[in-house]
Amino acid sequence: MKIEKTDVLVVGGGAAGAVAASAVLDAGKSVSVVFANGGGSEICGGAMDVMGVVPGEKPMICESYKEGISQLLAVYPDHVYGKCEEQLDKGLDALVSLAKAGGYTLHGFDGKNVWVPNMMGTFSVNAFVPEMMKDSVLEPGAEEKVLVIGVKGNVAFNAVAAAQSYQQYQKKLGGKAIYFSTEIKIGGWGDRRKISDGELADYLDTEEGLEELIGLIKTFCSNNRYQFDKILFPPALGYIHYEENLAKIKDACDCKVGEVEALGNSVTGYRFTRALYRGLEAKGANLVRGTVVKEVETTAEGVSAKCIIGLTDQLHPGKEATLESSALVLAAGGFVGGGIKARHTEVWIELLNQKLGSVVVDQLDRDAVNPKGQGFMRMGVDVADDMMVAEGQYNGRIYACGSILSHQNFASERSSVGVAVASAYKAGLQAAGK
Amino acid sequence: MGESMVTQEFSKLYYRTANCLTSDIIADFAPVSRIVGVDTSAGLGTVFTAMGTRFDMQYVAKEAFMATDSYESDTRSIDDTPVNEIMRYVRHEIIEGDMVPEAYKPIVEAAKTGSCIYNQYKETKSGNEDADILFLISPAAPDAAKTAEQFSIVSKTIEKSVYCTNQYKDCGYLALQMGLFDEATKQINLLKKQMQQYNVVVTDDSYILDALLVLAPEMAEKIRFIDEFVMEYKNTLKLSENETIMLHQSGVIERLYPEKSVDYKELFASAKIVTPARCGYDVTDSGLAGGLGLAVPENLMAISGRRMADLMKEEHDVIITPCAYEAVGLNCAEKEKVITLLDYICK
Amino acid sequence: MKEAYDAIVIGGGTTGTGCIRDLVLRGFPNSLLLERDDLAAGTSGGCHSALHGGSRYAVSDIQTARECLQENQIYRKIVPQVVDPTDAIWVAKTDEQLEFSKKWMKNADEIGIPYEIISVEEAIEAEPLLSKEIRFALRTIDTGFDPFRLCIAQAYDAKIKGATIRTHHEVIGALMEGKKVVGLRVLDKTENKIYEVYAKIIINAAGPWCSQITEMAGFAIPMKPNKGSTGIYSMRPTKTLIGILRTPADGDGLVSQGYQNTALLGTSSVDVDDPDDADPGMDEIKIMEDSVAEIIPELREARMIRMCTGVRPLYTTGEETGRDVSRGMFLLDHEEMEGVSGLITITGGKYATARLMAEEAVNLATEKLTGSVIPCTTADEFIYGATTKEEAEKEAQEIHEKYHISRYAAHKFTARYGEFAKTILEEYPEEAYVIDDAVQMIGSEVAYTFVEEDVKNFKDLRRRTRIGMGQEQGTFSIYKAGGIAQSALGQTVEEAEENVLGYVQERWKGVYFAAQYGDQLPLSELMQEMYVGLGSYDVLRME
Repeated sequence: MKIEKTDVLVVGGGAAGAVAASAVLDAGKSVSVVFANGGGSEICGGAMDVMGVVPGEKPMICESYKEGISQLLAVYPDHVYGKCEEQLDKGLDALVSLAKAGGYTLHGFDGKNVWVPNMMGTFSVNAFVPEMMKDSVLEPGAEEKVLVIGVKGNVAFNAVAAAQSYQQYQKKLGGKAIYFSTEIKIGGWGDRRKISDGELADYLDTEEGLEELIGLIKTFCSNNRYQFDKILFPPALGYIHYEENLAKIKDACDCKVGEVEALGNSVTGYRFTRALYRGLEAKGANLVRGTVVKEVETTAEGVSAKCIIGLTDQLHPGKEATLESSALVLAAGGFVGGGIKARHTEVWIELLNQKLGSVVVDQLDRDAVNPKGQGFMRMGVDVADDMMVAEGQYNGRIYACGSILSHQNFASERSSVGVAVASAYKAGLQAAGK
Repeated sequence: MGESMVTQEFSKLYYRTANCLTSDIIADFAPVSRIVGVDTSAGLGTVFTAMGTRFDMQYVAKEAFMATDSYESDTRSIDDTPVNEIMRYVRHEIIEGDMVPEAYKPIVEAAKTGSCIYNQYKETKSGNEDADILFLISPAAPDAAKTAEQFSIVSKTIEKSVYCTNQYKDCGYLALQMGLFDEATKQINLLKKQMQQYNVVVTDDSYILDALLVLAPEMAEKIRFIDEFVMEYKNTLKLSENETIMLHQSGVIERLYPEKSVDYKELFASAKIVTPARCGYDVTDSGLAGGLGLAVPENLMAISGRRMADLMKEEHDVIITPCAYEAVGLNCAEKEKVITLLDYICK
Repeated sequence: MKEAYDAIVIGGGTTGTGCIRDLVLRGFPNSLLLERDDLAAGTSGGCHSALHGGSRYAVSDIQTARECLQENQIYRKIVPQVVDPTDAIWVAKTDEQLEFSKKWMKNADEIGIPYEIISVEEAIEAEPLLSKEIRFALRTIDTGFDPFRLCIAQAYDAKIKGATIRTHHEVIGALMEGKKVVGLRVLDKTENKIYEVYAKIIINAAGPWCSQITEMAGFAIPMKPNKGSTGIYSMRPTKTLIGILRTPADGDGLVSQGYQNTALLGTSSVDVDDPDDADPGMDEIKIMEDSVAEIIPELREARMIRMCTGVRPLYTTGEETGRDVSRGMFLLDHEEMEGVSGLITITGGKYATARLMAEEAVNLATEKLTGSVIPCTTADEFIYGATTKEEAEKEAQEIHEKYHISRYAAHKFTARYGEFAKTILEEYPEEAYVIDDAVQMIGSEVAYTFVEEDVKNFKDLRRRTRIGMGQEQGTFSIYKAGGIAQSALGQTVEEAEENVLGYVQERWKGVYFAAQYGDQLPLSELMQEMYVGLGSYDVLRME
């Protein structure tokens, strides 16, 4: 780890931070990325959404994400996409190539959205899926036989219930598949009863683990008079060797194989964020990991950020350091990522010492699953058209991107990754120009 | 000399624990859950719940003591939950309430009295006390005299005199991990006087390093980890190796003191340095956890065995680690001999 | 053939379930309990989870304090697994409070409440989050308890001994013969079927809804529904119940909830017109939090996960309001008062005195049924599933070893089910794993409660098992329960969806009122991401 002056400082280790850094490097400038962890990306589901649903009394499902963005902007003219839509392609390219360089392949579908089965037994709308989920994508109209495999003890994924649910929920999406389910028992660990995703992934990363799994599937497939077209697994086919593992399983099964989308499970987030970091390092970014930015000061000449390096607890105060740069990109995440914090009844962007106000009942809908989305999710930093944090006090040296931005509701729109990469790319480029 | 007193404030810890939304997700990253399993214990998530209720700590005693190397989970906590600190606190409560699980009783006793938990430990001192450098040998070192000799060779090369000792054992590390702060302070105070005489204090044990930096922060300037020290004198030491070195880093350094982390590519300019998939900030420790892992050998074997498999995955001529304690932990797996940095440069 | 019982009890709260248990124990197993929602769904479930040992009323209401003290000892004996003897520390900080403490001790001596004055240092050592500025502290007995499980235990104790329990059956009319109530018209809300039942005597234990029942028989009773709001924190900052020594007012203390991972800030007192329209008020919560933060300053760091409201069935004869209306119990013999026979009403009172209320009501009922009072035994007999702490402990250890459930989860589990704990796992071994880490709830409970404990939906399930009542409010666990409902109970996807979403919606309601408390926001965002962003229930939902 090097504490050195770079042209741009990016705060945040998720998708937005990575793409912002990539944009800075594309512009030929140097960049440091400071982060404690991957924030919201650390617990992501795996598939990437760009623009899936336009919220409203009758939510509109978007066939293609670009058309979706225009429809969305017609309804919400202030939406953050209005400022960065043009950078979307570049941002997506940056994300895909960073991930690729880090050993994580992302697939797009020519601008179309696809439906990915998830651990809950429903489908979510996405624009990009990792290699691990490429085969899992729902194909409307295809009359295929799909086998959902659960692992006994891996209680986060109930294959029986999931298969029943997929069968029902696919109807609205034009699915014609028939779903079957089975549970396999991995015996390599003795009599374990409950198995977490992390354990399973770690075991499947070992040679004996993968061998055992493949053996079990082979036995299952050869004893079965049904030929399955597709097999779905829980998202736990390895932390490290996942793509190799998938290829080997496909070879053994001789059919399509994929994982379902995860629910905050730790494995997919680990794969994704670590791939981004590897990609960033390969591209020449300086990663300052395990570091929290505590305070940012700007002058007419540049930015200085006071940081604490290293894990901190009461015995370990961490080491203070100051990072300097010409500009700073804030990609610190929303409420979950930690960029937006709440102090009792008030909501703050702590790093900017900016109060966003208090959440009041007016900003919340009484319905949890509300077709119009929730108002409080549209809280965040206001930026100018060039993604510059609008308040004058920062000498025009701070830019923001990703979930920390206001005027978006990524959950009901299914737009989090799209907004993150588009805004990040623009913010990165602008910051590089300082 | 002002004696620093380490304490842990409950109120600072409590709300951070209880506000943690993703305890079971981050728990998945502790080697003890990931490799040993969540079924014998429900993993760290249970400890979080018990901590939140502030009751019933006796029911999670086993889990709290089993949770070795919890800093690995700390790195994944997106809401900044200090997992290791929680475990430390719960262990302390369990010790206070006299509810220590049977397997851990000898270790708790040793931490209290400052005695050593290793059978092979022999008190070793070498060199003149009136030296330039104080070298604290890891109490886990299989042959402390040999380590002392190795370090003496290094110091001779750089024309410094050294006093090597392991009489301070782990310098209070285990006591710290059990929240026995009075005992830890007592242990460090003996050492502090001695440390004052030297300009430089070096150790080949990352856990000792942590104990020193926590308990004697006023002397942080003179405290060095072994690889940091070697790096300072790399030109004099003329290190040149052409082998492929697989490196197992120290989790304590990479996570808690990343500023002390050494670039081995610079240290061994002509060697090829390879690291396993989990390295740097994501490094997985040996499972020994400064001694705590010793209580349940089967867990230790499982964790170190998995780590060794990672280390052996890529081609290499030798596997080295700067930390003598980690080397001992990894060698428990009995797969391939891991050697320390000192072993390597003195061979 | 007409459906006839000896007695019908209206209301599935603690008084109603206490009455039906008492009736059965006195030899009337041919009794029926009717509840329009679920057991403990009204006032009982909205209570503040402290089964007071009397200390709270030592100054304001000596009679109630005496009854509480007596009943507290009884509950500890008859249903030990549900009662958690947390004890309490009462503190004083101001001159006024110091003055009050003298009065308190004088009365406590008189009533016989055991207490011990402790030094401020001792109090702070026991409860490190207490303000260092308190000036006086005393330790006294108090108990936390699980209000849901206690109601459920009373109801099923009656059920296994022969009584009939019907939840989600609402009384919609009284069947009169002249001035006598001979039966009831009931709506089965699951099947929307209306039917009639007859009984020799009807005990109206409908709490704040009492008057709505008597109005069906032609007269009203002067109820003063009084709303008590509580705020629930995601954590338990204190081991004991903490109280402020002062005249009862809003925000007297923090109740530590032993059987879950939460603490409860209580309780306000506001009169309301309609017991069905009682939303918790932000202002009340703020007043209470300000008050308790005086003695636990960092309470503001705690994340309030939701607020809830219970409506006290206060009975009034005059114009007094709020805290001045008696919280004592009232047994109304309508034959004497209004000349309407066949119906008696028991109302007022405290959760802590519910057994005594049931005793009084059933005394009168048996007198009307047989001409004389049959002696009551509810204070002596174990309630459904009751085991001693030692037995529960032993069972927990066995469960831990056999099913690999952590000792902690096993301990919580035996505390909920007593002697039924093992049976549940034996019947549903496939689901014997923890599905909700925050409350250590086990998957088998989903199957068991649906089959054995009249659970109709996941909101009922919450009352039985506490699912989703921990820090993550079911975000990571409720879909797993949905899966179990499908795979183990054979529910259809639509049914499971209704359950899951109904539950999420119920939790959101709590969020809706509590969300202004900022630290809740990351969870709300996560919940939305899960159930909207990923689950797509907003667009895929089946109607």
